[in-house]
Amino acid sequence: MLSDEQLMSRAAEGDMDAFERIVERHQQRALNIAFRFLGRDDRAEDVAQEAFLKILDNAPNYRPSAKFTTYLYTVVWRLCIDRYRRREPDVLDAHPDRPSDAEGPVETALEAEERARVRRALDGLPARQRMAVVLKYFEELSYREIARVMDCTENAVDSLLSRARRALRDALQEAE
Amino acid sequence: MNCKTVQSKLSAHTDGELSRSEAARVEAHLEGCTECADAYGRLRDLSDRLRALPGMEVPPGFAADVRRAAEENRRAAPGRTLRLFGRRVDALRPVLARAAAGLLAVAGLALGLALGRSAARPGEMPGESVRQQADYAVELEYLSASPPGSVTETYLAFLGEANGG
Repeated sequence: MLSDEQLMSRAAEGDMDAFERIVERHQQRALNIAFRFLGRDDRAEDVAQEAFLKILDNAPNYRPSAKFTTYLYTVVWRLCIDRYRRREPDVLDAHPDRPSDAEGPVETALEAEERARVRRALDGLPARQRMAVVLKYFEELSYREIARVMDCTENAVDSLLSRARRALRDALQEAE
Repeated sequence: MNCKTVQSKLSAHTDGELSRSEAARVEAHLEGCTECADAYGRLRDLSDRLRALPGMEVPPGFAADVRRAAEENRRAAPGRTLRLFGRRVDALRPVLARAAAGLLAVAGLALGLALGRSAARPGEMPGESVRQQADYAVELEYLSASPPGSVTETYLAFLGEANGG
């Protein structure tokens, strides 16, 4: 099985099969990060697609100084923050309850309410805290890896997560 | 460890960031301290609630759609064509491209020498972090997919050679 770096090298030479293989291998990851940050699957799909297109455009210049996933996370993060800064209304508002495809066919009203509550609390976080939470709790990156993606120190990651947890607890208590 | 020290480490402990020995000391304290154990419990509860938030299913055909979009982009804009004096560079390619490439090469060499003085690992552009590469990818528009023989392609090829690429 070819490594990500080998596939990127081939994609840089115009091998679209290699590019598609990269997308297949990492699409779930890219979509999940974007979805958990932005809260909408249509926006997440746009961001994830744009991330892969940008990565392909930059393939000739790609140097594997870190894991490919770190690079992918960083590109997705940069695109997410662009969306956030554009202040698209649904990013900030309590977004409408859209049943996620990830749910099973039966979801109790309580589960849906809890999901919406947690989602709103997450949406209320500033961008950097929100992304730190996404990378830690959902992607299970270490502080070191998060620091690399977000271009900050490990202490800064610790601080972001501490503040995020306080804000999330307050928001969830208020909502209950 | 006292409560103040333990509570300052609870977040990192929840996140699995403590060393084995430090984690063991925190756990030992938690066994005997209700207040700290409650605080830790609240952190774990929050983690559980967050992790219960579902992700997104991959839309059917996503990878194929991305590939198709990439191929369409390449067909629609096979190279970013420069315009000089109102004329497309590829129309003047044989003479103008080489003259312009020569001029750019001199400027690029000077710039490359100035930048290249900073230490860089083999295969890595000087001072380039993952974030810099990602920023470059996100901002990269004009110089992507240059047509063969274009000024852009020649200049990029030169840069690649100068940096050992």
